[in-house]
Amino acid sequence: MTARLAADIGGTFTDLVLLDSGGGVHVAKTLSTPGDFKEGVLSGVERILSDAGEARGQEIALADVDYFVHGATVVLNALLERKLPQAALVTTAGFRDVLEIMRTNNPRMYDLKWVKPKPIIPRHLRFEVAERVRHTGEALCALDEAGTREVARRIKALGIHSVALCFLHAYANPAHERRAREIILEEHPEAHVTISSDVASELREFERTSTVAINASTIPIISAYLDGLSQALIDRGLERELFVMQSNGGVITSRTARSLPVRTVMSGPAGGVVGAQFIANRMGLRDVATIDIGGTSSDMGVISDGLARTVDQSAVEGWPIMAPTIEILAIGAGGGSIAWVDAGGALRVGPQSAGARPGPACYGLGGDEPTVSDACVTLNRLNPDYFLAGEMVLDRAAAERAIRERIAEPLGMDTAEAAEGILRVVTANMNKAIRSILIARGFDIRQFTLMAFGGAGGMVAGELLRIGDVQRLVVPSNPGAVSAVGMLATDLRHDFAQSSVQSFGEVEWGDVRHALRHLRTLGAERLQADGVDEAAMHFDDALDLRYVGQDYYLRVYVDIDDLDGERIRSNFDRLHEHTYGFANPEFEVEMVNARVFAIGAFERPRLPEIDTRQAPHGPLTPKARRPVFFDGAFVETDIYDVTALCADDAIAGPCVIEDPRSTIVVMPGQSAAVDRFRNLSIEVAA
Amino acid sequence: MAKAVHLVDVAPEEAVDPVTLEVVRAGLHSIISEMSITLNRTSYSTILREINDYSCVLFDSRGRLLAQAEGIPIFNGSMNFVVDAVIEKFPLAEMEEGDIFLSNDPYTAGGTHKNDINVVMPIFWQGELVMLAANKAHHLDIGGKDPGSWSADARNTYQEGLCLPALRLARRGVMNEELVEVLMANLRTPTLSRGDFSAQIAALKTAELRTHEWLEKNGADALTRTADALLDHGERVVRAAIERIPDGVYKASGFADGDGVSDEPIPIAVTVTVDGSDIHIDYSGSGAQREGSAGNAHWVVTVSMTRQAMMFFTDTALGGNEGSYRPIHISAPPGCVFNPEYPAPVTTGMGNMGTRLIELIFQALADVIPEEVIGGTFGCFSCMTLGGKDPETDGEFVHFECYSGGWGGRHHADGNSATVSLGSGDAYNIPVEVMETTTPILLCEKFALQEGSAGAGRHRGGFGTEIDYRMMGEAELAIALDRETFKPYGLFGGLEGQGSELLVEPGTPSEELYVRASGVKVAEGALVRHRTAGGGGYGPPSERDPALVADDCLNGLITIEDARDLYGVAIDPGTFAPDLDATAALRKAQRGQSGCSPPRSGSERTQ
Repeated sequence: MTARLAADIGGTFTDLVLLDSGGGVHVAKTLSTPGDFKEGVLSGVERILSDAGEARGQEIALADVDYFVHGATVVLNALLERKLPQAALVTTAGFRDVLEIMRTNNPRMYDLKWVKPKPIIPRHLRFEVAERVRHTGEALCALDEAGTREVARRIKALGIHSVALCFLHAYANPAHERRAREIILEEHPEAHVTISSDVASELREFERTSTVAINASTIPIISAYLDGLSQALIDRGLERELFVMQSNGGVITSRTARSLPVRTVMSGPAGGVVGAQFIANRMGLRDVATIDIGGTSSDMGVISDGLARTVDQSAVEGWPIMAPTIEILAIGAGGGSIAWVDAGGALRVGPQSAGARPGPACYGLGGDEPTVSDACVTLNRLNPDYFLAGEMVLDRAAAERAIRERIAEPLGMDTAEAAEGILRVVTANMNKAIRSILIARGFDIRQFTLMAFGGAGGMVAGELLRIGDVQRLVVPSNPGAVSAVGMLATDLRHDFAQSSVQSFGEVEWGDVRHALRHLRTLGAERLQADGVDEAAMHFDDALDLRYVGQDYYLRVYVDIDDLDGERIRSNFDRLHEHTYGFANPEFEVEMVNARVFAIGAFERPRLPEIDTRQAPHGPLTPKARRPVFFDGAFVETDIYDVTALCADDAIAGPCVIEDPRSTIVVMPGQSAAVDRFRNLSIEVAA
Repeated sequence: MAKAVHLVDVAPEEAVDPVTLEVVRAGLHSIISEMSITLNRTSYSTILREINDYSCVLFDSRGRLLAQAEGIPIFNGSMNFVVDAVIEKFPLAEMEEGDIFLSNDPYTAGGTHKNDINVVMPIFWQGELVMLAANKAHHLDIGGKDPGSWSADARNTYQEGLCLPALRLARRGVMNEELVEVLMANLRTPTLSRGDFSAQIAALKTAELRTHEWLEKNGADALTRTADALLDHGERVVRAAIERIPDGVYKASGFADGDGVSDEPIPIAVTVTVDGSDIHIDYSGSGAQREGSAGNAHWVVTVSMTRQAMMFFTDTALGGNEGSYRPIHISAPPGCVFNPEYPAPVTTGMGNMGTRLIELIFQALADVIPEEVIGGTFGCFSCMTLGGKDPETDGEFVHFECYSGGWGGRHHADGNSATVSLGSGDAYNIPVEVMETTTPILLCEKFALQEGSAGAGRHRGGFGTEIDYRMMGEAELAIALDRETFKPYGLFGGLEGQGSELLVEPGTPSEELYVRASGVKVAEGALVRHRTAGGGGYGPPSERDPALVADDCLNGLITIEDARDLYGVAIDPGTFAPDLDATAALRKAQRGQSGCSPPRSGSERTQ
């Protein structure tokens, strides 16, 4: 018996998925331990191994796990809480304040109380050395080696071991950065030096500086965490190296993650989109918008033509990260989002959240603000006695009181109507976000299926379908474990980019081929170090192109052995037409970046299948009925247990489908169909 | 104090429920952000694609500003003037599907300044005009006397570039290409502008497409029924904000630096009258309109900036609309600097005078809402233009950028450092690497916070910036700064910030100071140093936490001498730790000798 194991560590819960070699899927959920995330992972591992062993009637030990992947939540958490160890930054003379000045914008344009974020690395730990490279790569001023040595000594004297280096235009010529790294290592051999031309070889000094600064500041965090966790797992019998999910949807070995933590920041949300992609592919869905609804926020993603879309830059708390990342749009709308009445008498929901503590009023932990979850409880859509399989009893009276006093009475509405209003407003906000992430790519929302998952995904699924612009909605089986499934359904991946802005007409295709080959070599080396066989290696090559004068580029995939300028150009025009609704074939085009995506393929897991309904199953019958509020009145509604569903079952709304970890609400006028993986497709009934 | 909220007259049976209101609003905001994405992604010039100097908005079928979201605040508050001027000339009843209108003239067409080109398009649904989509975008150059059309010393509107009254750009989907040709023939950077122009139109088309999708699902009735409720809600939110300000008459006055032609200080004054949930803001007492551009805020800018000042005190997460402006009453005598008469120049005054006006309102209200106002900021947009002939391409190049500086300290925190002006919202800088790639004639040698520039205070101001450019060829320079003479004010005992200035060849015998100028020839090899002011402090410096003073010393933002002299804090030069005993003694001694209150940058507040 061998097994593959994934752990998605969230702020509140850790979800684990174990796939055994017999095709069995096992799921577990434990509380996260934010003080030391390792503890939560270890207890989750213990639990899932024993559960799985029991279910199979055969013990599964850590030694049987030949692949263990998990999300690097420690990095994101450290950034969100700004608990970062000291790191130093070295820049071109005159530019150490780039990190603090940022892009000078005021993101909250009517808010005089907004406080600009404190720099990731404080000014007294930002050092300058004389050197200058131009945008052409020409070295205008040589690196001041003596000055660099002096800076290295000062950093060493301060006891700082992690150093970020970002020189102007280093993407065009990395020689000075590389030489400076050598000098720093000569003076300070214990230092870990991150150079911008390695981590993010792209144009734009603030974004690049932010990326290296984040990397250098989180290296000590991820190293300590991975060292501790690896050791604990080895002590418990694990024989393999740990793998870490990346923001780009692929995984890396923990050895690589130790020097590139910045690539793992969005690993949890990225896992969700990759999991959704895997499930969508099994269901035969090509175009899917995903929404992962948690307690405080919702993460949107896009799968088009079967592939999760990526972007080349993302941001955490205003700090940009230059690295290919599964495109995620997070909004402050989740189960714990607080409803309120504004000064003008409008009903608003979020972005404030009751969080996990005190949580929604119905948790009975002292919260008295009405939340989305309280609305669901008030409407009887959420069963107060069956939350987390009954591990927690919800206080319906408290939920009702919060909504009556804070919303219904001030607005002169009925309590249940107000609760229904809260769900409509929050889902309208979610729909707005789904639209905006699709439109940024030029997609037509009506062609997309919406996949809703996460703890609160099923709860508002029916409302989302009703208020939203999609025609069909899917709630996958085990909606809380989609991210962990995603981590098991992906490959090793390393991304490489080289900025080189030049006119398309003047491009020497031999040089481009050479550049792509060079990036491929770097990729092959990295994969080889990860232990990937040459046969399992795969490379995608792409060029980023734009019309001269434009800022945003589009990515055109190319064939390294057949770089045909004319075809690449016409592919670009077509892509531009598709994305923005127009193309200018007569306009001059320029090349911005060459990119290589190096992939080490892993085998895909098999999802367990359920039977169609046969005679022994008997007819589908509800486990209970209870009055649930829909469209202005309480209606006696069927409640089904998820395990009672068989493949090809069809259920008419209104109904509620419960499983131990989530609740799915199908509205009147909607119908749900069950597939062989126990995913639910909800549509407007014909 | 409790005062009755004035509710708008809506018969109860017509009232739209609060849930529908939010659902419709979310739909409209979605359309606007989709317009913005299209405009940004398809534009060509750095000012649109990097700086985001544009705004997209929607109007209802009666031409009322229905919704706006992100963008440039000063634009948002002005767009109703643009649409009013279009409708006056091309009545709504005569508009046809596929029509597009454009304008830029402040005097006849509600424009802000001429670089800002407005486009407006009616959206039809089932044969009926249901909405108008509009956007405003800053074009790098609009002709006139200097590259970039940003001349502090322009003496009339003709010198500020091509004038576009409200014109029909497209009729039933057919573009008036000859009009476009006239436009492009008057600009120094036609290629960029042509691309930006396509982007503005693409944004309108996006609005049309998305509106149709929305109407298909929700019906036109939902929109028309909700329009009034949206505006009424906007009004109630602002009224609630005004309610919190005690009734009374509040005044402030001061001086702006100069108008670009003359450095004679410009008297400026405001009287704010709060009466229940209405506010009246009057600029009587301000000086007569000036000869130079930097001294005049066109009436459209005056109104828009005043609206924005009020938005700072309001819950505006939803963006304002025409209803939001109903309780705000604005007046300024014709012929004064805040309401100049044709053909007064007004381009650079938009930034210089417009920003001053917001700060005057802050000063007037400081004593009654001390927790909501901030100390003086670095002032205007601080725009600098460097333009000329690009030796490589032989074409004209224009580098135009709005710079950032320090904002004033506030009740709860220090002022932000290096942030764009009060009127610029979510505008970005141009990255040095992007600027050097597009404009290789400029080499940036320093991009830094200006040490020592922040006004001291319990909460100090933010730091201004210091940016050095080495000229790799020759160019012409234009600059429009304020707050060089009259520095960013402190509040409640906070000190003023250090002023703005632009130096050519600093530290050499040929050093020259420029504050408001254009057509300045800068030679190859010369250094141009652009410095923006630091924000004013809030509260007495003697009340600042010594640990924060020590932190600024450690970070090299202030000197140990400043810590001692301005804050009364003794810092150990070796460890940069504050010496608390020595500090207590210093502060006690300083309290003994100070009898006078710190200067207030030529501004007076009275009640």
